[in-house]
Amino acid sequence: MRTRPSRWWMAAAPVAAVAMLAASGYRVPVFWYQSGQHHEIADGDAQEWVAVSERTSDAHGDLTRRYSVRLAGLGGESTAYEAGFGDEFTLADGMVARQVRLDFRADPDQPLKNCALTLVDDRGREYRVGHSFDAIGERITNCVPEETPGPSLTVFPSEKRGTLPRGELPRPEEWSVSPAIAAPKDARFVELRISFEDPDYVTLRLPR
Amino acid sequence: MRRAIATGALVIAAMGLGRVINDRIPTGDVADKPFVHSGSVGRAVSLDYADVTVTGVHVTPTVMGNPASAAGGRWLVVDTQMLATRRPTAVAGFFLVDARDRRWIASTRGPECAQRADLSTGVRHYASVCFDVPKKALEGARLMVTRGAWDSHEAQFRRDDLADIDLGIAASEVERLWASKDPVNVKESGPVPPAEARR
Repeated sequence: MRTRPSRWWMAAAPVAAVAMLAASGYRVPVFWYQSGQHHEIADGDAQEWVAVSERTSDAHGDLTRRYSVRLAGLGGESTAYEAGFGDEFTLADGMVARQVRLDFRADPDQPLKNCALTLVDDRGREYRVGHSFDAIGERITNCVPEETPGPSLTVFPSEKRGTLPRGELPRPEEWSVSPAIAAPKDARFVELRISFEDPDYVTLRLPR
Repeated sequence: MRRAIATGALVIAAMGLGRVINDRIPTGDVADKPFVHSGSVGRAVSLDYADVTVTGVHVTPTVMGNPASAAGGRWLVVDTQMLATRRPTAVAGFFLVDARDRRWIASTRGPECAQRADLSTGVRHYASVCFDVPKKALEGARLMVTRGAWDSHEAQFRRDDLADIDLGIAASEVERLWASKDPVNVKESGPVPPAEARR
């Protein structure tokens, strides 16, 4: 009896290729996806309320951060800006402190400190404030009232979610902020991004 | 039988080809080398993510005249100006390469000496980087500026833009620079020009 040549490798080759890609594929989430803004969780136009619910986690486990936000517009042409540790300096090279007027609605127990705001212009350039790598500009209260910023994400399991430092009043249900981003005076901005944690972000489009 | 011999010859030929590719073709050079942009003092080097300019080079035994910051050899202080062009950029690697390819990392000992720079798009950033070096490192020293942290295998900035800036120190200048005792005042790094900085 003649034996037929083995053909099992024809089925095995694609399986091996997929297994090889999967084995080295951990680099894609670690070095790319999770290290930048790559997941749009909500979007809307300026002047429009956008409801956001964002999956995140703290010392107690998973939680969902909920808030609504409206981009009221941009303003400000001052060249005074905040360097690290509250010092002021004067922006040069045609840069100005562009104010971003935002209205928020959220329950007072939602942790909304430490948000990063990014203005993107029509050439794709990104101007940001509030990220942990940003050395200038306000770092903590870009999205919340300065005096009543509300709770932080818990870091230790002994902390209770939503607790405020002694003597601090709860955040109102609705408030407005106007943080400043260093940006060129003549840039035409197309969108603002709000991000608490990479890769998630919210896009608010500006009128062209 | 003939078929088995042919298969065997094919396998051996394939393994031989693999060996030739590994040994003879410089795949490591192609896969790992950064894109080097050379420059000199006073000229802006345009990288993919930032413009980098060396604005001054100083050699001194102490930074700010502070005996606690005395160098083992001499401080080579390099004043830089950086400007992120497209997006906020963290520059994590400053290192020095001398004429014989020996390397030094930026020192953490000098007050206000920078080891990294977090750049905001469009905002000029001023930083001075300090290297504690022996006399023989001065001639032909070059500053490397990269986004990746320095390591001896260059793996942190593989396939990335890298500025390679000649600090312009000639052999004839080494004696004079080494003998100089003037302390150098290093200003705090950040968006404030050193001439206007208060600290």
